[in-house]
Amino acid sequence: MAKFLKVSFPENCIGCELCVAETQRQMQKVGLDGALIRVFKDRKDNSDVIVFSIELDPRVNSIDIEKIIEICPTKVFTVEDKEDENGLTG
Amino acid sequence: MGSPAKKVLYIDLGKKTSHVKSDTELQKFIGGVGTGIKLLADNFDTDPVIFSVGPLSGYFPYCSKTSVVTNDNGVIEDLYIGGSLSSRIKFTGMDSIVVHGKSPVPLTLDITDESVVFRDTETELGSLGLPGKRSIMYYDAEERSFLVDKYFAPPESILEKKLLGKNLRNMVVTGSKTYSIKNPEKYGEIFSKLLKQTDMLSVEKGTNPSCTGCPMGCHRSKIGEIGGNVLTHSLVACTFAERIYSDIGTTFSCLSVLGYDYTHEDIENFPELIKKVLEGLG
Repeated sequence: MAKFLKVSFPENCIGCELCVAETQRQMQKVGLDGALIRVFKDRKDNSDVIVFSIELDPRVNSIDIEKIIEICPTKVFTVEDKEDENGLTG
Repeated sequence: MGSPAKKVLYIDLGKKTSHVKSDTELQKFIGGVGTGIKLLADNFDTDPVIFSVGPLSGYFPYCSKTSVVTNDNGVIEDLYIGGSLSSRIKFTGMDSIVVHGKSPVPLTLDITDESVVFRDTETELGSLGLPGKRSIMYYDAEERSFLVDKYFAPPESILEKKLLGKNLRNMVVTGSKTYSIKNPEKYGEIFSKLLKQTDMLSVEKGTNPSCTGCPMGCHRSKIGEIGGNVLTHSLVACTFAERIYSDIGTTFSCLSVLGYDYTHEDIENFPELIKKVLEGLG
């Protein structure tokens, strides 16, 4: 069964962007352009609390997603089994 | 070397002009506080505020800080701010941004790679740059401080005094450049090794917003740094990673895999080089 990367615990994200760097490194580049993961930050309800949201490009599943899970220091991601042809990621 | 020259973006707030200059002389100053101090010496009369990143910024873990060098009433200050600013500056393709002059009205700088747009402060900051590829530094009147990513602040009040004195209120930096890696296998090996060396950091893991490229989420990086080890801060690594990056062998390996041809002697003699430039500044 095909595996896909899922953002299961976005509330754990600390915004380090090591996942972004990992995807780029697997594509043998450094930078943010064309990254298969994007991390956005904002303040929660105008409070002082910073929250992060993570967007996955479905093409991220074509690279080694186990390494993305491994590099995340706060375990934001999980690997799920793809249940159908139109299974959503992220 | 990885690049034959440092690229510097000069921004004149008074004339609302900007230009990029490639400077081969800066290469021996490595980056960060090194290039910042040299640029301050070269542009002293314009009273600049100089933002710099280092050769390892955006490439290696814990090289997450942005160096700011300026003259504060005769005292040369080097400050360091966390967050995503350093990686975004790196991905503009610039090594330093030199801000000088004074705007007659409050301004927002909207920087994308080599391009600078001067905007009024009414412009919604969220409408500028490219989300995910930008870093926003703005003056938060409530906190009475500049903030990067709505969280990371510079130490003390030197930056506020200098930038508000120049009528610069906000700076949005978007970096859209990517760089290929010449030796991806070796680069990945060094990256992984350094990332595992969290026991050599002088901070504990936490759940706070983290600087780009750092897994620690520590509580200390909210407020930046001032002064410290010139080699660490030329890279521009976090002071809490000083045990890692003050090791010349480690630094040499990182620079070498990126294609820089600094020698061990260049790195060992670097503090003396900085000292001479500072002596020249009086």
